[in-house]
Parts: sequence; C-alpha cells; structure tokens
Amino acid sequence: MKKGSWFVLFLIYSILGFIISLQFRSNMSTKKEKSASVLNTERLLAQVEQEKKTQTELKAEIEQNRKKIEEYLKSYIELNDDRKLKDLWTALYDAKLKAGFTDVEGPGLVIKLDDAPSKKSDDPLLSIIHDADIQIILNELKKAGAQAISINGERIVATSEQLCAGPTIRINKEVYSVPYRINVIGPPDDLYYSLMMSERVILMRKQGIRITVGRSNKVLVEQYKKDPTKLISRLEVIGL
Amino acid sequence: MKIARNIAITVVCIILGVMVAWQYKSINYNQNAMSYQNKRAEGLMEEVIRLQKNNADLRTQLQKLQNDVRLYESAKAGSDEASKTLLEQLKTARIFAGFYDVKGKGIIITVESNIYTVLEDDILALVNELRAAGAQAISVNDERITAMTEIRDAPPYTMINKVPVTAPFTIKAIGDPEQLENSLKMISGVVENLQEFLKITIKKSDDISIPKVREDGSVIKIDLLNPVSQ
Repeated sequence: MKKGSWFVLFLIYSILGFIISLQFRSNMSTKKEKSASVLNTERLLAQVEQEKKTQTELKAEIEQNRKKIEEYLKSYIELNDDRKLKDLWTALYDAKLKAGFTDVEGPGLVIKLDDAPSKKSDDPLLSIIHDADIQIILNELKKAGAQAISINGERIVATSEQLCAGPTIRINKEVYSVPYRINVIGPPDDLYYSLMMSERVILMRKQGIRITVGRSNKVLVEQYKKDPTKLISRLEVIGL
Repeated sequence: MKIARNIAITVVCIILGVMVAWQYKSINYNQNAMSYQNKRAEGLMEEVIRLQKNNADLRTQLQKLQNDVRLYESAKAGSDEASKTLLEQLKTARIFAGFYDVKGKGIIITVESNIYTVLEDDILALVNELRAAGAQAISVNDERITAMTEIRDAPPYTMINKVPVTAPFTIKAIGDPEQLENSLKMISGVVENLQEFLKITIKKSDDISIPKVREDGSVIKIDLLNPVSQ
C-alpha cells in the first residue's frame, strides 16, 4: 500500500511538472510571435496611412494642374477671338456635363444608408447592406429620372461597379464602408416615391437597416475624378 | 494518517484537473489570437497593394497634365495646340458618355427564361458583374447601358432607356474577354446562381459592336444640372 501510493504521487507530480513547463513554453512562444505579428500589423497600418496621404496629395495636384490648363485655354480663346475654338469650347462644355466630368448642383435627394444596429436582427447577413441593395436603389433612382448620382463622392458613370467585399463596398475601384451617402439630382418627388415604394427598400427597413432621406434644392454631385482615358482604352470608335 | 494522505491525493488531483482544463483553454485562445492577427495583416497587405497601384496611376495622370501645363507656360502653344487639346478632350468625353458606336474584343451573354422569367434584378446583377470585371462598354439588346440607364420590369416587356425589349436578352460587353469570362464563371458567382433558374450562355468574341445611345435628350438629361463654377 505504501509503495503503491508513492508511485501514484510520483506519477501525479511528474504530470504536474510536465504541464507547467508546457504552459510556460506555450505562453512564451505566443508572446514572442504575437508581438511580431502585432508589429507587422502596425507597420502595415502606417503604410496604409502613408499611401492614403500620398493619394490625397496627388489628387490635389492633379486638380490644380487641370484648372491651370483650363485657365490657359480659356484666356487663349478670349484673347484670340477664334470662332472655331469657341465652338469647340462650347461643345466640350456640353460633352463634359453629359459625361459626368463636371461638379453639378440641382434639386434632388441626399440618402444616407447604414447597417442595422447590432442585435436588432436575428440574421447578421440581413442586417448589413449588400451590393445588390445599392444596385437596386440606384436603378430605382434612374427609373425615376435621376440625372446625376454620386456615392460617398464617387460619381456614378456607365462603368461604375458596386461590389461587396466583406463589410465594405467597392465603387469606381475605391473601397468605402458604411455609412453610405447617395447624392442624386432629379425630380425630388419622383425620386422619393420611387425609392420608398421599392420592395427592396421596404424589406431593408424591416430588417432594421437605417435609411434617412433628405430633400434639397441644392444637392451637390461631384465630378468623375479619375483618368477617363483608362476606361475607354479598348474601345475602337466606328466611323470616325 | 491514511485519511490525510487520501485527502492530499484528492486535492492534488483536483488541482491537476483544473490546470489541465485551464491549459487547454489557454493554448486554444493563444492560437485564435494569432490567426486573427495574421488575417488582419493579410487584409492590410491587400489594401496597401491596391493603394500603391492607384497612386501609380495617379502619378502618370499627373505627369501628363504637367507636360501640358509646361507646353502652355512656354507660350509655344498656339491655336493648333489649343484646338488639338480641346478636340482630344471632347472625343474622350463623348466616347465616355456613350455617344459613339464602338467595337472591340469582349463577350456576348444570352439570357433566357427557364424555370423563372428574367427579371430586372437579374440583368442588373449581370451588368454589375461585367462592370466589376472591367467592361468598358455594355449593351442589352442593343440598348447602350449609360450612367443613367434604367432597367424596368413592365411585363411582358423590360424597359431599357425607355425602349421596350423582350427575352431572350443579349448582353454584349467590350473588355478583356478572359477577365470578363472568368469573373462571370466564378464558382458560386452571379452566373452560377442565376443558372438554377435561367438559361445562360457565354461566348467570347473578337469582334463586338455596341451601338451609341440616342442623343435626343430622352436618355441623358441635363436640364436639372447646374455646373458648379470652378
């Protein structure tokens, strides 16, 4: 009996020792690896911030240069009183307005969309906004006679995609997260009723997705800001 | 003495049990925390690459503009340069808005009703997928898809640019044919989902023509748009 219990105690203490050393090692290794991956994440975060800053700077500089050229052309045309150039200028003004290359203002709606507050809906998939929701809302606005639309400042042009990527949505190859702000110019009453009577919008509101709509006579829709030549590079014009 | 020893062994066993359970949980937790960190880093990496690509594009755009500015500043630019610049911008804007017939490589999708009839949301989803895959011009039954083109169910028709069209729908898109096809045929992608109810065929082509949009003010309206003075 005495011998047996000695053996049991020996066994228990060796297991205890083994476990303590295992735990110690596990903690040590995760601490080391964790700190390495945290460091990595921090470095990447800094890099993202840096690239974003560069992007803002580049955009500002592009805008500045674009304005400069516009000024030169304008003053040149005024100085020289060239009929042909003046006609060209007018045609360009009209084409830019139709293509979405001009900041425009007009009557319309400002629509804000946000995911449902957490725990309001049973199914988390139903409580967030999907690309199809945005597509359907845009289509409703177009049916009602929308003339210009932007989402979070991205002008909607013929090739603008709305693509879900996790909790974010990609528009004109830029990624945005909630809340989404849709600015639309068009007949405000028609836009409002087309939006509110849409089955999809009614369903979205039932799921708890927050939709607020404001009317205004001066809704601003920003111009398409990227290089348009990249988006027509594969198109060969017939008969020109 | 015997009882005391039994109690001692029992206590040690209890401590041992608690420790084993605690250790198990601790190791699991540590592993989870690590995989979360790794996932986060992966997402950030993608974001950095996307931003870098974007900034490279912006730099080339800026360089082009700076060259133009230099040309004008040197006052060498005369009437010819001015009209050349204006004409170029005009052409770009008009192609972009959809005012020219265009041709190029791309794909043709046909969509027919099968178990269900084709609805506006189905066409919207396909058009959006094509846009995401880099399509530069799209038409549905020869109606050009512009920035403000609506797709509306009006049984037995579907209205596109206020023109009634019916199934079968032929969706044409100009872009990189491979990229367009791959994106559409993705597993559990748009086409696979729709194919449960509709008949969809996809064909690549090197010669796709897409007509321009009517320019009579019925599709692209600008009467409510007031340009903001820059």
